[in-house]
Amino acid sequence: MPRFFTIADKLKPVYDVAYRVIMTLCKLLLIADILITSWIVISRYFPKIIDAPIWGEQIVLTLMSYMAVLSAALAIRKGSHIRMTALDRKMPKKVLFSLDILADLAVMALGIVMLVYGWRQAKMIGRFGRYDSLPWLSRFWMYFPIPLAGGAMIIFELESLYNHIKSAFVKPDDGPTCGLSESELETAAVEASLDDKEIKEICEQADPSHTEDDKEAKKQ
Amino acid sequence: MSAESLSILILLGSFLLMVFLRIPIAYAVGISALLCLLSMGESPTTLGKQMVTGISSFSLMAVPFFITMGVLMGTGGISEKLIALANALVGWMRGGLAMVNIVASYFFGGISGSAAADTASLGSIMIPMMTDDGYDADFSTAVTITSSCEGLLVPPSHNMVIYATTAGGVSIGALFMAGYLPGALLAISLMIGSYIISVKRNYPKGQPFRIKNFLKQLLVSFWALAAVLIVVVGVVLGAFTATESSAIAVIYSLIVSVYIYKGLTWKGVWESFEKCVDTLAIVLILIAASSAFGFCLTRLHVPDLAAQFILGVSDSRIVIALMLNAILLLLGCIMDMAPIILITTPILLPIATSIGIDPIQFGIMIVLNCGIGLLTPPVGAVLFIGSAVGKVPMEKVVKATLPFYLCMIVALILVTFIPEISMWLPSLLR
Repeated sequence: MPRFFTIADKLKPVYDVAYRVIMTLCKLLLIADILITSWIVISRYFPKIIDAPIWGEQIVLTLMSYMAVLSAALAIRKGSHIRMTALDRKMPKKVLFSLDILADLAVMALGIVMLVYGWRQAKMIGRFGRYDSLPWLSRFWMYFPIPLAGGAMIIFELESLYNHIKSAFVKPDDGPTCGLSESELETAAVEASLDDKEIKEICEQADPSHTEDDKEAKKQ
Repeated sequence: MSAESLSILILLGSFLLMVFLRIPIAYAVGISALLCLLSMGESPTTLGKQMVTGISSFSLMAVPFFITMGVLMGTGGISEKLIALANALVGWMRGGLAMVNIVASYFFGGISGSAAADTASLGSIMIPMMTDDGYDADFSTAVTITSSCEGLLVPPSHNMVIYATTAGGVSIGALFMAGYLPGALLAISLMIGSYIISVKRNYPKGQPFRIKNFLKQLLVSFWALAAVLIVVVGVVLGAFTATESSAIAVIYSLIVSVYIYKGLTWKGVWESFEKCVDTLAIVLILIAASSAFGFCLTRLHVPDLAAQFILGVSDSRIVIALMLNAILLLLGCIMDMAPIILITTPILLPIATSIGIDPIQFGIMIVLNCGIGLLTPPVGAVLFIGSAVGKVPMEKVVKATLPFYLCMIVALILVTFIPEISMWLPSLLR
């Protein structure tokens, strides 16, 4: 089994690159949304300087749809979607493991439905509909985020499922935890917009003994 | 059992089951809506259609923009300046740093609109400052987390935009104005609680009040506070929509953070956008999925049925208002804020309006209830963050927060039964 994981782990850099590319795309979509909306406002007050983009509102909304679905797929990889973690501390590890797998499968099933039926819907609407403000642009692109979301969800859920299964065979490095459960730490990190490094620093300050124990264990 | 009842059971039952099975709430909402649609004989394509419809609202664009503005200002070094301003204003009182913490949260909340960001940003400065000055760490953490809820009420708050869009027909400008007094009431209530504890424990006073120092700090903080002015004044006067004002405020925040406060470089700005995307990843998909869920609720007449049920329990306005608060508080203990607003607004708002509560006042009630929920175990994101930032075990923080829960409940009851607290400022605009 460990041999299988060694081979499968070679796919991790591919996922890392995909993550970085999609994250960059999401940032660019957000920036484009901000700029176009500001353009709409400025052109209203200074019509002689800058023309109003009549397509502005529809394009902003479409870009937001793409950002919403792509970033949601990234959140699957980070494990940062909000979930009920109240009972995590009380639950046996085996039950938690089973629930993680169940959650992965449920989200993946939803992803498949979104991919298949979303694609049908986008194709059907695209055949007849056009954007009001951009008549050359098919409305297919307005509904395409749904199958795109489905596809992205499946891809990142596969990795999540793999990681959960792997955790049953290979013990992960837990790191300092501030006395919080793993999911509580994830919630704290995401809600406070702290990255993994920052939250780890906070926990190390709170619980330096863990870091020392950790180093000792690694030495041994 | 009728087909409609069965569909309702599938919708609500499967949702609750999946939440307890730890399926991410956004996807639990989507899957339960899908199952319900299938039980109603609808095509699964309706799910995608409703999701796109839900997210294709120009008003909702204010949500990502307000979050971006908060992140840029938060990482741009605004916290220290607002703390200095609050210190100049209330630091002279007994338990001065606790008061500073509470007042700084009021200012900071106006900019970030997020209790979690407030706790992480102000807490990392205020809690060490307070403990160095002789305050107990659990008390300092409790003050930080409870005061962070002011930010949810003080405009601009993206949760208010989510509520206004879900409720439909609620003016975002009026809702923004409605938040100021309840936010101030909450701050005063927490300050009274802190003062009593500070006197009992003999916590120190700060420097005496000096008008010159206050004016100096006000001048320094002016650029940050002006972002709030752009949004609120722009929306209230009708110069911009909430979305437009929030986009302009993002650009303004960028200029202030990079060129005036110099707390961010352009590289830092690019990195900050990653934090924005991380937060938006959770919120936007939830809004999209909740649209499909809301579609099912409406098709199945769940709001009418819920209204009939609750109004059948009692016809007393007081009892029903208390029941609404109890339901929201209970949900707040087990769920996060955005899903509660998105899922319960279509169900509970008709009940609230039927007993004479204005939708604007109900918006304030729902936000305050959810804010209290963020601080309560078992699911309290702000509690977790406070515990991590303050380096105090969660159990100890909860114990130290008990008196402050009381302060918050008092504020909630006043907001519920004295409509003028929420409605007076919006009424001036009509």
